[in-house]
Amino acid sequence: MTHAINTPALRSRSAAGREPLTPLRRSSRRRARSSLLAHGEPMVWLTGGALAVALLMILGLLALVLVQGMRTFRPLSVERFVLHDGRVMMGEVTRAERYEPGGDVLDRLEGEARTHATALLAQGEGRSRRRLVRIGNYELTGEHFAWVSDFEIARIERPPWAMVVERLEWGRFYGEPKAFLIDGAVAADTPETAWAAFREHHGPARRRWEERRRLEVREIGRLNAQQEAARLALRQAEIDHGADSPQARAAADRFEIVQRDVEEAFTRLREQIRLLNEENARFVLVLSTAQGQEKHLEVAEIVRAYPANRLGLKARAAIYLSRWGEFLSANPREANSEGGVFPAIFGTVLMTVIMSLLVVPLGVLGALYLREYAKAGAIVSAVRIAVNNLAGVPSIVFGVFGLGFFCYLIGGSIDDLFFKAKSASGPTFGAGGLFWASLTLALLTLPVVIVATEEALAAVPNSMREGSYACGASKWQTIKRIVLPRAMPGIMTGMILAMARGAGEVAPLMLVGAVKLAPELPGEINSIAPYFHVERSFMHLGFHIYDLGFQSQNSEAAKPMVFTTTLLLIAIIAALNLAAAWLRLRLRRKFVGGQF
Amino acid sequence: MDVVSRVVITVGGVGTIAAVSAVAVFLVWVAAPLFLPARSEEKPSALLGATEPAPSRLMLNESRTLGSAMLGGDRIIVFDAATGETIETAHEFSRPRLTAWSMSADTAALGYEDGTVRFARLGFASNLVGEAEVDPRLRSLAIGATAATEHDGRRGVLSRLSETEFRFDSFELTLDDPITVSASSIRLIDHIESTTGRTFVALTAEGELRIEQVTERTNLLTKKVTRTVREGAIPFAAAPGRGEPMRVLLSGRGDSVILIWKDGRAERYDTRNIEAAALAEELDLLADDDAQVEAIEFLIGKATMLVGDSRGNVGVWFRARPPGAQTPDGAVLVRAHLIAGRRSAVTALAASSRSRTVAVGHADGRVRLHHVTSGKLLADLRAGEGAVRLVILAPKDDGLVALGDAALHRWILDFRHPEVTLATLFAPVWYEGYARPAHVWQSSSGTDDFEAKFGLSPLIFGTIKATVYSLLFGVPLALLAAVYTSEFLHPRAKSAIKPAIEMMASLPSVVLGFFAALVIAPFVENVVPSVLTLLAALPATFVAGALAWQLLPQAAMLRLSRWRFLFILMVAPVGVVLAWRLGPTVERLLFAGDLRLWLDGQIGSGLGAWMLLLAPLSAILSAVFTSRIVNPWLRPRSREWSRRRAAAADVVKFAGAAAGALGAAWLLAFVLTAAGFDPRGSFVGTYVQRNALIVGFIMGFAIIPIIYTIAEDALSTVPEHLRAASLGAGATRWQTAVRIVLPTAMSGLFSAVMIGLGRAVGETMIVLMAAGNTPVMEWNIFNGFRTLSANIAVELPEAVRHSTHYRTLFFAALVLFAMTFLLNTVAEMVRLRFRRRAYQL
Repeated sequence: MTHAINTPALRSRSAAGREPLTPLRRSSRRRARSSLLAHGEPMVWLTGGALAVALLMILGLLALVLVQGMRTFRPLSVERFVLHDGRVMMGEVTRAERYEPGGDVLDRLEGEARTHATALLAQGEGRSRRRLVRIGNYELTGEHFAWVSDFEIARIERPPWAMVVERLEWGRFYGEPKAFLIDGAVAADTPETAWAAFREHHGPARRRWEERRRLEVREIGRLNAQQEAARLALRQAEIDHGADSPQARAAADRFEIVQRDVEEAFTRLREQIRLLNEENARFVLVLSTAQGQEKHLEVAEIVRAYPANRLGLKARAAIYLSRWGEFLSANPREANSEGGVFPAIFGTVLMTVIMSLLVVPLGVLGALYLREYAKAGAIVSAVRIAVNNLAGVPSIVFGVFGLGFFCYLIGGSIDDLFFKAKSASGPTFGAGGLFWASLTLALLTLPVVIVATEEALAAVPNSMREGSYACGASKWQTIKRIVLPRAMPGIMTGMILAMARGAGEVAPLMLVGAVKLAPELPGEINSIAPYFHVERSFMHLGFHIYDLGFQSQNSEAAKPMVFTTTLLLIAIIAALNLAAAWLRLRLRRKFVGGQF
Repeated sequence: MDVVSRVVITVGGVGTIAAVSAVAVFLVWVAAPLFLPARSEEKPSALLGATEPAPSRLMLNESRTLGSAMLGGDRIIVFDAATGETIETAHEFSRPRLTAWSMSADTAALGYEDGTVRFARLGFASNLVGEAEVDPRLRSLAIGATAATEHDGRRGVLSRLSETEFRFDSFELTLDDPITVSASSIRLIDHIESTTGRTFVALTAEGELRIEQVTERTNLLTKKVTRTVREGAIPFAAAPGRGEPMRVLLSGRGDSVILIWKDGRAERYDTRNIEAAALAEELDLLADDDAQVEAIEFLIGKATMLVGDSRGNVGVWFRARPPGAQTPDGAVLVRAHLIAGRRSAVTALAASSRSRTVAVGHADGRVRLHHVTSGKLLADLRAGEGAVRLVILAPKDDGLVALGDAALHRWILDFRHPEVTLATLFAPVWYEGYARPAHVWQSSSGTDDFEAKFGLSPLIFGTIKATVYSLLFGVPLALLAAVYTSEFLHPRAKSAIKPAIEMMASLPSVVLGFFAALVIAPFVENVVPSVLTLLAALPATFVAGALAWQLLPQAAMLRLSRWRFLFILMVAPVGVVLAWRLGPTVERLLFAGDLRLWLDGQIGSGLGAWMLLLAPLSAILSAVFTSRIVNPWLRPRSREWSRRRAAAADVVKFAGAAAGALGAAWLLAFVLTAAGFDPRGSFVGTYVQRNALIVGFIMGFAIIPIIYTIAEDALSTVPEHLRAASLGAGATRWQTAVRIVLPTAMSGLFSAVMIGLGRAVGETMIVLMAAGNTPVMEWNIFNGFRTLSANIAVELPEAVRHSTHYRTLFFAALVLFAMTFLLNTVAEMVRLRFRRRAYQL
C-alpha cells in the first residue's frame, strides 16, 4: 500500500498539501466505470474549443492580411455617381458599410428625391448603405475620399473612357481624356487618339524623367559629396592645426579648386536637366473631370494611367503586377502612402544582415565557452540562467540601452574623436543609425543564438569528440574539424531565428535610428568619412507599418498600403522561419545518421 | 594554436556574457544620479565693500561674476562677486525717497514717498569682447580669471573665456515714467509682469490698497506707445490693533492679492476682476501662536508662497480647488508642504528662477537648499557664525551667495535632479495647484514655469492593467489548448498544429498592434454587446456541442471520434453567429438599449454592470457546485442508466447549472443594485475606442504561442508510463489528464504562465498602438492606459540627454527590466525544479 501511495501523482498532490490522500483512494474505488460523467466530454470540448479559437484567430489574422494585402493593387473600375442634389462624383469605390444617417440628412433633400430616400431608409430600418469613393483630384476637390449614401444617388454610370491617373504629386486623378497636346498644339482630340498618343509618349517621357532624377540625385549628390569632403578636410585642418597654419591654407586652396570644378560640373548638369525638362514639358495630356473641368497633366509627371473600364483580364493583371513591381522597387511618394517601400526593404535587410554578422560570431563564442570550455559549476549555471532570462527582457529595454550606450556614449565619443568637423552641423555617430540599430538588435538576439548553438553543440555525440581525441587531435582541432561542422546546421538555425526576431522587432528601433523617411539610403559607399555609411538613419518595414498606420495624414489611402507592407513583412519572417524549420529537420536527419 | 583558441574563446565567451549583463549595469549607471545629493563647492568668501545702510536684496548675474545689492532703500550698488569690492553705484534714491520696492526677474516696482510708482528695468548685460579691444593691462589675465574694469565707458567685470575670447559683464538700470497712485507715501508694493503688461498692488500710508493694471501697446507704424491703466481699490480695512501688514503679495496671474502680518495672519483678496476685488479668505499661516513670520518669497510662477518663521520652519502654500471650497473664487490657500528647520529661525529665503528649489538661510549661519515639491534636502551649507542676512541663487541654479554679517559666502552648485526621489517616483506627490497629493505622470508642457511630474505609478499601473487583462484572456486559452493538444489531439494533427502556433510567436508585434488599433478597435466599437456576449456564448456553445456529441449513438461516436477536433472547429462559428444575433438583445436587456450611453452612466441602472462582473463568478461557482455536489450524487444513480439516458441527464444538468448561474448572478446583481451600489466608474465605465479590452484581446493573442509552447512541452514530458498506468487502472483519458498529467506538469505550466507574464509586461508596440496612451489610473476595462514600455518609446526620443526626464525614463526601463527579470528567474527556477523531478519519474 505504501508503494501505491508513492506514485508521482499522489505525491504531488500531497506535496501541494491541498487534500489528504485517503479521499482520493476512496472516490476512485467508488467510481462508476460506465458513467458518462467520467469522460468529462464537455470539459474536453472546452479544451478543444480553446485550441480551435486560438487556431481560428491565427488563421483569421493571416487570411485577413493576405486578402487585404493582395487586394491593394487590384485595378478597380471607375464609377460616376450623379446625386440628387446635382453633385457629380467619379472615382473608385474602395469599400461600403451600413450606417444610421443623422436626422437632418433627409431635410436637405427635396421633392422626389426625398420620397425616394425616405422609402429606401424605411426599407433598411433606418439604416443605409454608403460607399467610400476615392474621388482624387485633390488640387481641385480638396479631398481624397468622399462618402456616398445610397439614398443620395440619382444614377450610377460607368464612363467608358474614365481614366485612373497615378501622379507623382497630389494623389490620383480621375477624368476622361480629351486631347493630347504636343508643344501646345492639339495632336489628338478624341479619347482613343489621346490615349494612343499618351501610350506612345509616356515611355520615353518617363525615361527622360528617370534620367533627370538620376542626374539630380546621383550626379549632383556625387558633386556635393566631393565639395563636402573638401570642406570637411578644411575644417579638420583648421581644428587640428589652427586657422592660420600652412596645413589649413593648403586645405583651403584645395577646397577652392574643388569648388571651382564642382561649380563647372554643376552648370553642365543643370543645362542637361533643363534640356530634359524642356523636352518633357512638350507632352501634355488633357483630361476633363466629372464636373467638366479641364486639367492639363504633363506626361512625365504621370506614373501610370489606364482607362479603368476598358481593361481586359490581361491588362488588369499587367497593372496589378506593375504596381507590385513598383511597390517592391521604388521609393515612396505622397508621404509614404503611394509608391514603393524599397528603402524600407533595403534598410530592414541591411540591418538584419549586419546584425547577423555581429551576433553569430559572438553567440557562437559564448556558446562554445559555455559548452566546451567552462568548468561546470554554479557560475556556469547562473550564467545560463541569466542568458535564458535575457531572452525575456523586453525589447524596449534594449532600445533604451542602445540609445544611451551606443548612440550617445560610444557614438558621441567617436564624434568627438574623429568627426569634430562634420559633427558641428549635427551628430555623425552620436545619434541613432543603422549600425547602432544592428548592434542593439544583435544584443537582443544574442540569447537566441547562444541557446540554439548550445543545443547544437550538445547534440554532437560525445563519442565523436572522444574519437577525435583518441586520434591525437587537440581540443581546438576537435572543435574546428568535428564539433563545429556537425553543429553548423544548428548554428544556422539559430542565426535564422535571430534574423526573424530581429526583422520583426520595432520598439527598440524607434529609439536607435528608424525614421519615417530617410533622406539618403544607408549603407552607401562614398568618399566622405566614414566612407561606408552605416551611421545614417534608415527606414524599416516594421516601423513603416507603425508610421503609416498612425502618423499618416491621408490615412484612408495609407491603410491598404499598411496591409500590403504587413503582408510583405510577414512573408519575409515566415520565409526565414520556414528556412530555420527546414534546417532543423536536416540537422536531425544528419544527427541520426551521424552516430559512430 | 590550442592555447590561442582557448584564450580567444574564453575571452570572447566571457566578454559576450558580460556584454549582456552590461545592459543592467548601464541602466543603473544612468539612472543612479537621480538619487544623488547636490554637489557643492565652496569658494573663498569676500567682504562686501559697502554695507551702510544694511543690504536688503541681492542680485547675481548668469556667470556669477557680478552682483548688485539694494542698500536699505537708499541706493543700488554693483559689486565684483569674487572680491566684494564695489564697482559702481547704479542708482541713488535721494529725492523723492524710496519707501517700498518689489523685484521680479528683470523688473522692479519702486514706490516713493510722494505716492508715485515707477517701474525699473534692471539686469545684467554680457558682451563678448575680442582680445584687441581689451585693456592692454588685462591681456595677461589667466583663463577663467576675472577682473573689475571699465569698458566702453561702463564699469563691470571682465573674464577670460579662452585664448582669444573675453566677456564683459555690467549692470544696467532704466527707469520708466512715474505713475501717481496716491497722495500719501507707498508703504508696500508688489508687481507682476506679463506679455500684455504690468500689474501692481500698493498699500499707501493712509491704509488704501490699490491695484493697477498698466497695458502698453506699441503702434507698429508710428512706434507710438499708448498706455492704458485700469485701476481698482481693494476693500481693505486695517483692523485696529493689528498693525500694518508686513508684506503684500500679488499672485502670478494677478488674480489674487495676499496681505500678511508678522504674526502669521493673512488675508487673500480675489482680484480676477480688479474693479470688483473682494475678500476671499482669512487664515493663519503659522500653526504656532508664538511664532512670527520672518521671510516670505514666491516660487517661480508666483503661485506658490514660501513662509519662513521664527521656529525655523518654511511653510509652502498655494491655492488649490478642493471640492466644496467656500470662497468666492472656489480656491483656498493650502499648506501643501512644510520644510521643517532645525529650530533656528529663518532669516532669509531665496527661490530659484528656473526650478522649484529654495535656499533657506537660518539664524545660526546655516543655508539649506530644499526642493519644495519633492522635499529633498539638497545641501546644508555653513555661512559663517552669525545669522544669514541674505541669500541669492544664481540665475542658472549653479551657484549660491549668502551674506552673513558683512561676508559674502559663495558656492558653486550642481543640483543634479532635485525633483526626483524614490518617494516622488512611487508615492503620491502634492503638486502645485492640486487639491491633494496625486500620482501623476506629465513630463512636458508648453509653458516655462510648468513643473514636470514624474510619478511612475500611473505607468506601472498601466503595465499591470495591460498584463492582467491580457492574461485573463490569453492564459485560459493557451493552457486549455495545450491540454487538448497534448492529451486528446491526434498525433498527426498535433504535428501540424503545434508548429503553426509556435511560429506565431515570431509574428511581429507591430503587426498585431496595427491590427488591434486599426482593424479590431473600430470594429469592436460598434458591436461591444455582441463581443461581451461572445465571451459567454463561445464556451457555452462548446459545452452544448459536447452534449449533442454525447447524444450520438455510441457506434457513430466511436467512428467519428478521430474527427472530433474538426467538429469542435465547426462549432466555433456557431457560437460566433449566436453571439452576433444575441448581442442586440443583451444590449436591450442589460444595458438599456445603448451601451455607450449606459457606460457613461446616463441611462439604465447598475444591474447590467453587476451581471457583467458576477456572471463569470457565478458560472465558476455553479461549475464547482456541479462537479462537487451534483456529480457525486448523480454518479451512483446513473450507473445503471442507458448511455442515452445519461447523456440526456447531462443536458438537463448543464441547462440547470447554466440557469442556476444566471439566476444567481441576476439575483445578486438585483440585490446590489437595489442597495444602491453601481459599479460603473470602476471596472466598467466610459467607452474609449482604444481600450484595455482590445489590448487584452490582442496581447492575450500575442502571448498565447509562448505560453502554449512551454505548457505543451511540460505536458508532453510527463512520462508515458504514468498515463499508461492510469489508463490501465481504468481511468478515462479525461481523468488521467486532470488527476495524473496536470498535477505532474503543474510547475511547468506555472513557469509557462510566468514567462507569458514577462512577455506581456514588456510588450511595447501593441500597447503603444492600441492603448490610447493616456496615463490614467482606472481599472475600467473600456478605458485606455499608458504602460512603462509605451511611455519610453514615446518620450525617450525627445528627452534631452542627461536631463531628469531622460534619467527617469532610464529608471523606468530599469523597473521594467527588474520586473521581467524577476518573473523570468522565478519561472526558470520552477522550470529547472520541474525538469529535475520529471527526470526522476
